[in-house]
Amino acid sequence: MSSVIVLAAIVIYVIFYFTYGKFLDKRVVGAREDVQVPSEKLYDGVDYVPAHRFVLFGHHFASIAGAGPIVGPVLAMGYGWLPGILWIWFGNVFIGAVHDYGALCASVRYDGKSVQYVAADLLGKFTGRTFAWFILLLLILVVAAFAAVIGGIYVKHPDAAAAYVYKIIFAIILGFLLYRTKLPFSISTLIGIVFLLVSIYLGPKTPLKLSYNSWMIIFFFYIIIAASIPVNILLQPRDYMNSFLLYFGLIAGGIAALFSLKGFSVPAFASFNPPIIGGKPTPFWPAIPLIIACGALSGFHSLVASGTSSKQISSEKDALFIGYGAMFTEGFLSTIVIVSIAAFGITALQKVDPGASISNWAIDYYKILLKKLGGGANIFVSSYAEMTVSVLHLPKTFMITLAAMWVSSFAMTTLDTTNRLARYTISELAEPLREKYPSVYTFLSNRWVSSAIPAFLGIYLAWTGQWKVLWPSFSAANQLLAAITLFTVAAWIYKKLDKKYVGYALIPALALWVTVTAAIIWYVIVVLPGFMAKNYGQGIILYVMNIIMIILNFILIFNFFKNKNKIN
Amino acid sequence: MDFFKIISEFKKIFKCINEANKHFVVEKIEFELQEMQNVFTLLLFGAFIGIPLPPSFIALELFPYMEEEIFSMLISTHNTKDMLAILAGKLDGF
Repeated sequence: MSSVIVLAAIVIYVIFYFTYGKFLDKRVVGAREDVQVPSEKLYDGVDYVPAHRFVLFGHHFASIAGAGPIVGPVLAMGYGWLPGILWIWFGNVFIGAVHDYGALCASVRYDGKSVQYVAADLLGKFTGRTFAWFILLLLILVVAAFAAVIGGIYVKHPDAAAAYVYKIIFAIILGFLLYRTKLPFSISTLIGIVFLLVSIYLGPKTPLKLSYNSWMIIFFFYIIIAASIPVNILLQPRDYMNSFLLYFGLIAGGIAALFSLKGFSVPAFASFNPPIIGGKPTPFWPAIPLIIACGALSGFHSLVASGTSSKQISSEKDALFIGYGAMFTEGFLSTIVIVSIAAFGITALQKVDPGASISNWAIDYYKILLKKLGGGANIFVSSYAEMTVSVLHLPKTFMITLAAMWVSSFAMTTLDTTNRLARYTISELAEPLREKYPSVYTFLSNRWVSSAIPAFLGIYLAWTGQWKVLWPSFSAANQLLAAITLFTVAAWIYKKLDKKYVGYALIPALALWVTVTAAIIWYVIVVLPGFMAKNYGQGIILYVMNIIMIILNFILIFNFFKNKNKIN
Repeated sequence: MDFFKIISEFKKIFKCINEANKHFVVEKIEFELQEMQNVFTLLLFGAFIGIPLPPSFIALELFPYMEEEIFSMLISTHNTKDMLAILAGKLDGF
């Protein structure tokens, strides 16, 4: 069964790439080879440089891929394996990939300007500001959700925590080798890969056992320090090592899922409303986008697409491969996550507790499986390790540490990324205060203050350990960001391209808007009161953030219909 | 397909992945380098925009050597109010 699903995913992606994708490329956008792209028009040797399509694809994919497409599908498994996988494929083809591709193309036609700029130009300045607010909320919630997930991994897998610490030390050494010695790049690369393997080998020998809350305190300082030191010391060499982990993890997982030839021990459909978010019965509609976020679609991708990719694309014809194709690759990663749990989740559980039995999957998945295997991404770690070991015959301890390090490394890099981005966002949002309240502006835009705000709020929320409550809030902000981008793309098609094709962006935008708005209202009414009863301070923060999102969301739709017909 | 051809195909794939990785991480350094270059250029030519820095004759003497940097700065002024996405594209996502 696992092989059938992996093959089906490949076939679906290939078919829709060459049919729906090509249709968007040829008819809707009308991509042409002979149009001057920003990398030619504004060539500066730094930001605007044409890059080969494969290189840019790799860059784009490395920028969009993280722990998001892994954690979401893990959480959605209570529905059974089929609803989650269908949402991933449907979301990829008709929403997520259209969103990424649309953002990339609009940005290319706007001389490489960001989608935020395009939104402000087409839908009014306020929409551009709304975009920045969603980003700020998103960045705080990312810290909260990811810190809670990594905390869960490190408590359950102290070997992965130790391996990550070794990796940081080795990354600093690698950075030194790359920039302070005359060692050729290929040898440094080889040393980097060896360092990575040594970290994974040493992790289980010296596990780092700390409590969940101790990890939260460490993360708080890590986020601020890692985001403040020069990139060549830690961030750059570490990310270089991480990218090998990503490709190895993806390729090994893909091969193992394809050749494991194992049946699924999980029902295809278990329940329409299993107890997912905050332990409350969670209806598939409208809650699914709050559970599976990045694997199906992600608003953050629009920033990446219109940040670097649009400035470095060497031809409009490459946009489909980069924007549409990279989203499919991320969806493929989520497919592997579901396949590994569906095929090997029960096996992993029986290795931990041979006596454990699952009678009602929709309930027992959360009560038994997630609890016994440590919650969060740990079930993926165990299932993935079982799957790769069964096919590739690699040492199990090694694969468990590798998988745990894979997920946690990506979540850790996201933590300091968000802090760097938050610094810019806070300065931008504080801009109107510059003249009226200069001292407030100076305080907020201070490097350390703007770093501490998302780190403090995020870690304070994560302190509760309630990742199943925090994750949906993060997803909501991310999905609403995607809705703004899709409305922007729809306005772009309507105003600058051909009106008759507006539905290809507008229908997914409206569907997403309605679904996510309904989901947030459900979340605020059903989930948050229970959460707040136990965690008052954090509950208030989540309430405020979600209500801000709902208000901004209504302003957004109003702005769209108000500005849709205005000529720019 | 013979064995050596398969190996050479794998080599090509690995080379491509490595190129993409390099591209991704080198961008981060370039971003920081550009920031430093901007500061350096401002330090030298601040007088042109009213910042009283080095004596103008030194700035003028250095002017011809700074062509590339000044050009790059001019292009980046295109995006001064639009930096968030540029930064997001150079960092890791989620």
